[in-house]
Amino acid sequence: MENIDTLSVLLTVPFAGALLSWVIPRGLQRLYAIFGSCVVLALTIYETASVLFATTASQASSLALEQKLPWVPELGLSLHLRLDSVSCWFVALNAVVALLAFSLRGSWYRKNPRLFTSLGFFLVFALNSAFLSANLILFYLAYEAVYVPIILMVGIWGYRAKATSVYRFFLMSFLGSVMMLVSIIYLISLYHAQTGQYSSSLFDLIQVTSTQSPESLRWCFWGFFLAFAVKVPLFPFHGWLKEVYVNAPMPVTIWLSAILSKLGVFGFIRFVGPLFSEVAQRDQGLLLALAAISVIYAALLAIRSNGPKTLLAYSSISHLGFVMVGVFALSPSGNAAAILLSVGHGLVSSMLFFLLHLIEERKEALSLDTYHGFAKLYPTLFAAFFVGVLASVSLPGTLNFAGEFLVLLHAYPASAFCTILASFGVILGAVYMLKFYQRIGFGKENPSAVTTNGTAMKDLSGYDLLILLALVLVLIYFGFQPAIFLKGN
Amino acid sequence: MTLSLMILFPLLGFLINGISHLIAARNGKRVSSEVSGWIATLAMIASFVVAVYFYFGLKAMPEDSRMIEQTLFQWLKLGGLSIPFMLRLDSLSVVFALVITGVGSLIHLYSIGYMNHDETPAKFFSYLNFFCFMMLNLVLGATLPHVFLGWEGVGLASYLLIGYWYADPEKVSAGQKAFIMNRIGDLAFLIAMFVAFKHFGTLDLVDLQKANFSPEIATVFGLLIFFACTGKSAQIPLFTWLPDAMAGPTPVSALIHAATMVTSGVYLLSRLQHIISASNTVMMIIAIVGAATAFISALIACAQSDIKKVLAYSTVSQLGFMILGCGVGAFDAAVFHVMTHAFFKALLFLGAGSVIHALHEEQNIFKMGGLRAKLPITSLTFIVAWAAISGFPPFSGFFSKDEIIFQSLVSDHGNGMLFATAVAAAFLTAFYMTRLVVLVFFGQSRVEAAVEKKIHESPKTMTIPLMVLAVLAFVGGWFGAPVHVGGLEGASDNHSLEIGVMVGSVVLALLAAWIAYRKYAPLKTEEKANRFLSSGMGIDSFYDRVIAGGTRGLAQGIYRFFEEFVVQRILRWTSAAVDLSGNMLKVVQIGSAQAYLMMILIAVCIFAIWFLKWGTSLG
Amino acid sequence: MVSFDQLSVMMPWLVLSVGILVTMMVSVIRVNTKRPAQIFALLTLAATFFCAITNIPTSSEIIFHGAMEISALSYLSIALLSGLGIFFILGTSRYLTKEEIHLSDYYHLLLILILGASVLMSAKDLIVMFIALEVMSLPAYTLTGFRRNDPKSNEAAIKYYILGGALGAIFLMGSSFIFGATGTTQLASIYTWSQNVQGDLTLFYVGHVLVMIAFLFKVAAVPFHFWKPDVYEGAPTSVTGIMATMITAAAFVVLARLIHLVDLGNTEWLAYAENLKRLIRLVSALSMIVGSAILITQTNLKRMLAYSSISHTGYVLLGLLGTLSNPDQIYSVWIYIFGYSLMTSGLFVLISQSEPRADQGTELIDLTGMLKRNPINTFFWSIFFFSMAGMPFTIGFFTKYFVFMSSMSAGEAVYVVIAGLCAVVSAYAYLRPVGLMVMRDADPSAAEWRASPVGHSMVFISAAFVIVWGVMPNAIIQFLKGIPLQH
Repeated sequence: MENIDTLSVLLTVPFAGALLSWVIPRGLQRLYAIFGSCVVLALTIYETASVLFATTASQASSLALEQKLPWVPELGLSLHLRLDSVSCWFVALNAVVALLAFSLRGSWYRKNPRLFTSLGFFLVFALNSAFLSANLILFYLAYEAVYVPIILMVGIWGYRAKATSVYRFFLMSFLGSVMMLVSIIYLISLYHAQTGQYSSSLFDLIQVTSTQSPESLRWCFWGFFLAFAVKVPLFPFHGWLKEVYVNAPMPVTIWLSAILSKLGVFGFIRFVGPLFSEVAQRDQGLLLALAAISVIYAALLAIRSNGPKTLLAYSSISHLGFVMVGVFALSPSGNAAAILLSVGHGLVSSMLFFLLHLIEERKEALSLDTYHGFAKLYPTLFAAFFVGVLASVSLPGTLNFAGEFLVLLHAYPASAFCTILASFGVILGAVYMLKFYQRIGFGKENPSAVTTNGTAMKDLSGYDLLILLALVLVLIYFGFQPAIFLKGN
Repeated sequence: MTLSLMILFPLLGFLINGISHLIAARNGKRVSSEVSGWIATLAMIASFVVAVYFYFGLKAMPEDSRMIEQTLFQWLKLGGLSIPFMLRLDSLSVVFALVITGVGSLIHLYSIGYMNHDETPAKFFSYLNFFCFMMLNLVLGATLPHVFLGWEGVGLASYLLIGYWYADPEKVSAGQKAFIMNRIGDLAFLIAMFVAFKHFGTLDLVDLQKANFSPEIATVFGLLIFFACTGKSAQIPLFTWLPDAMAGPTPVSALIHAATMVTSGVYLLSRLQHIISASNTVMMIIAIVGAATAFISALIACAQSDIKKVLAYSTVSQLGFMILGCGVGAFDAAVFHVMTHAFFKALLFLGAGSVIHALHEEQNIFKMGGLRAKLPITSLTFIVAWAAISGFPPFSGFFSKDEIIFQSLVSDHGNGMLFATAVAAAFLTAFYMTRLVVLVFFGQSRVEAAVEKKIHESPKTMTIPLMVLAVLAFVGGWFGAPVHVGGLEGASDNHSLEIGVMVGSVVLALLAAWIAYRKYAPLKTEEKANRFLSSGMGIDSFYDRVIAGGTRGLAQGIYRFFEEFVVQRILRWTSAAVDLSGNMLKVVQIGSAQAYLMMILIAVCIFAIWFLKWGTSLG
Repeated sequence: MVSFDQLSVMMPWLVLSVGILVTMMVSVIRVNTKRPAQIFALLTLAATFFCAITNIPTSSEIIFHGAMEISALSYLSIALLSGLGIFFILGTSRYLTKEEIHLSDYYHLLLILILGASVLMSAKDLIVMFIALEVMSLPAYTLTGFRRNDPKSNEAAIKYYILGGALGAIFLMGSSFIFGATGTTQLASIYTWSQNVQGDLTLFYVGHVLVMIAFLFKVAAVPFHFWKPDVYEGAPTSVTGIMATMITAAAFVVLARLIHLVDLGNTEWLAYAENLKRLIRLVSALSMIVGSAILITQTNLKRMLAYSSISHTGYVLLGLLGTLSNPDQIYSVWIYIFGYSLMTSGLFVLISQSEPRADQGTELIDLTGMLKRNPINTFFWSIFFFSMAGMPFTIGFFTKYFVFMSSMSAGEAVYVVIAGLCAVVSAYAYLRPVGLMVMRDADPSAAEWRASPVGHSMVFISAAFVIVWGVMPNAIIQFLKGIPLQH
């Protein structure tokens, strides 16, 4: 296979970053983290490009880079990495989100900064290995490894109710993933029974499930489903989400909403779809209904929620509901659209949380208890913020519109009712996002904000401006040129 | 010269003004309204030139193949769906393009003067340009998604411009209301596209005309599209946002909420007439809604005391006429009326703006009067517009409106009921317009003394557009609809009837004007307005209570009774249950060796007996 | 007549026994100082370890007329035991001095315990088993009560002694039944007998279940677990560690043997095999559920680990359950025992580093704010707890994985699901201490954690193994896979 050893770079570099952070001075951690994530981003872009614009015939046909190293044959566990038109987008998103998360200033760079960067890079490493793995056990290992940094980060830098929230998060996710493990083991034992070998390679196990009757695989399917439904999260498995989002430090919130949720989406697209195609077909109605309900349900909760972080948390569920509608269309087009929308949501939600953090920094600097007329104080910040809001309500011309439109369009034949139900999220989304934006940005500007020149923070710093500008351009450019995301479909 | 230039110039203006505004604002500076205003205006004029150029280009083409296309790039392409980003100009869209760019340029020009005291004119003009850009996308888009792009884009622009002075919560919520209500319509548009893609297999507007479909699908599709139009074109049931939209600066009301955006519903209906007219149900509903809107809002207009509110309801009513025209298959007449209405209604708003400007933001018509002398140009042009909208020959409004009224009687979809409603609406139109003119320009002044002195005619940049529009409002109707856009199935044979209708409506209009004059000319104090009518028949508060309140209630409900009661509680109870079981299992740990021994030996006995009796045969 | 080569294969055991005598001598000669005993004990164990690890036999050999079987397994087990012995002596030496139980008796009792355990692991005769069991248990009882001026410790010793004695008796009864049924006490001959049996086997069944119960008691499977929390809490931490690792390991090896006492593949025994499965299923499920359920209610570290070990017992039994269908899955049990000993030993040495507060054991609360007070310790604690929870990249994951695999391939899906649920519950229990360490600031009443260099290096070693074998388990798996369950 072509460039055999390039893929593992995407794992080794973040891991090295995690180790290296211990020898970097505490003061330089933020710079180091930004630099490191830029390196990762560059590598990712290179790899992704070499997949999407493959030169050699064999790649061009499959649009995939593969790399396979033996690891633990007794488990059929091999380091089987695969970068293709599905995984590359999640890997890319991972790199971008890491850059955003590391860019935020906050307590995490004052208290145990080394630990923070180290955990952050470990998280990037774990996520990359999850997204790259074409081997179920490898995926499971990575999937579990993700919890460790999240739990520790929330635990160390989180806010008030961090303990209960993080336990709740861990318990629900772990319950799901253990059920997934059991299902994986079941599949492996089936393979063992057929061939006498152990293998947890996705493609071998697809061979197995294709020979099994859907009935016998049903509980196995639900095992996987539980794991990913909790991660996404899909109604009614979202109980853990709000508390963690609110109590986590902002970088972790960004990671959670932008990329961890995609772990679930990816799981459905990469594993559940191929492994359990017939089984999923049987329950498609139920699945679509769940997705549509979570769109509406979460949107309504967002409407009634007061805290900005809570609102964004619920809006995140709502938008992921759209993604899942696309996934549960169970068609190639549906998946492609879902991937497109996942990327869009990843970028937008991380952008919004990023901006929220900047705003709250200013709010604290101004020692305000309420938001008011910030738009007047920070014009560029709010220009970016507004674009974020527009993308989040998926206004045509943004990446999210392309995704949402294609998702619904291709889900409509599968179930008109569920699609229409989900479409109502378009209205509700507008309602709460405008409320959110107006509450912070509009109204009489705050007298204290104007007077405290000394403490009042300036408009966007050059660096933040650069990042946000890049995001805005990406959202709009790919809003009109989404073809690249749909390549290979 | 390519089509794309037409949308490119406004886009350019938007970017220049927007970026310069951000840079300026970032450094606490301000771009003057002259600079930014002229940039924006020139952009619009340039785009108008392009439009004119292509208009003659179309004229040159043979009648049946009038169409210019330009594909800019591939937009959406996935699984059988392929949406190019394509502009298409034909005899229908060119009318709108001309109106948008032409009237648009005038209003931009007007705004330079109007906004010169504003804090952030650059922002204002960038929004205006953005609106025109989106509006042009709406009428030039060759596919439904492209139209949708414009459709939501103009909605966004109107949101931004209504809430332009966002320090005032009132204005902000007015903008939000407009956006949400439009979104409700847009949802229907969205679903209509899904239906179209599933059943017609295409979203291209030309291919849709060729598509073959069952009448049921046509009905579903038609109803969805029409519902979308009721949002944008402020028809029953979604019209309540338009009066509130007057919170925005007056040029905005003139451009967006009179001349262009609100007519996009008419555009869409005439664009898809092949499918819509295939279903009589849809046509009937459209006609009824149009007529009802025309009549009801005319009625409400009679009881308004805010000059812009009067014009707003009059706009809704005029839109009702256009929709009625579509409903009776007179798409020609509808589009014709769009054009004439653009002229005189823009003129009315700009005139009103000029009055408000002169009276320092006074909008209550009972605090005006006798301004004829002080504002010569404004009053003269305003009266021209009055004549046009009331439908006096030879002013433009007469031709277009009369066409619609006539069609509502004679066309296949028309009937006496619609006709009667339309005539009544026309009568009321003449009435409330006369009332307005009389109260503002005639009688003796009711203006507060303080303001009285400072009254002055507006600057050139404002009066010139007024005069140009006055001319257009006068002659705009003489040449009939500029190009034939279809509809109008064999009606014009019955000439005697047509003459009769004409004469009748003119007489009625005169009558209404006379009544209004007698009633309001001598008026000294504020008239006691009919509470029910002046409050927009309470529809507004009804929506607020039922729909908005309902949603909020639902949200609260599911939070209380599901999120908290079920989801969260299940989590809590599960952990509690585990804890409990742990504690219960723990009670055997009483710590006494004898007890342990006892329990163990009991267990041993049980196992021993089990193996003794059922060593091989349990179960 | 015992020939020389039979002695030569017994070399590790001989070395150990000699060492015991020497250590005793030393402690008699130099009563007032303890160092020599410790040093000799260490030397002995080192020699034993070396002697065992260097010449692991490839073939197994029955010696003493079938009384014992010397195989790779038995060499490995004695190596493991002596290794653990060294580990604990070094790791807890400071603890011993602090607790004033740094007595020379401690060391030769420990050596005797190891001898007993190692013989037990290679015993092939019920009588030998019994003797070895007692040789192992009696020092354990004594050591449990070693903190003489602590009533808890004495109480624990008594409980352990009474119950252990009783179960020893039950074992004897069971073996006598078996002898009655089969006419032999040698496992090998019982196996051959089982290959062609006729007539009523009830006597054997009862005997079999009784001998198994004796060892289910030793591994503290529910419902024979009552003694464990009290004994764990009462016994000196070092001794608890020894019990948790050595005795459990030995008991499990024997249990595995006893479960496979007869040729279950034989058609005569199929029905009985079903019944055995039923027994193991029941006990395993009970252990997992009870263990993990009570686990999350515990506030005392040692009690917590007691219940954790009960739930782990359940997992090992799950592995054994798999072996009833296909015996080659036995390596899942070996891996589990190995991995479990590894992480538990590290944990107990860690616990032994706490400065006790007024006559209390080490409570969870003592861990609060550890991240601030002692980052390195936090790191170790987290590794061990994550490993206990079966997190990836620790040995704890693979141990769980293989027992799950073992029983899953035996078609016991339901019980794997149960195990999974219990794993979630207990994972929560292991996460809580980690949370205390990183989330909360130190509780004023929290105990001090004094790190002794030697102790720390020991902890470091086991932590390193937990991680290394958690990432690269190939070597271990390959090695343990090669160890069948001999008959």
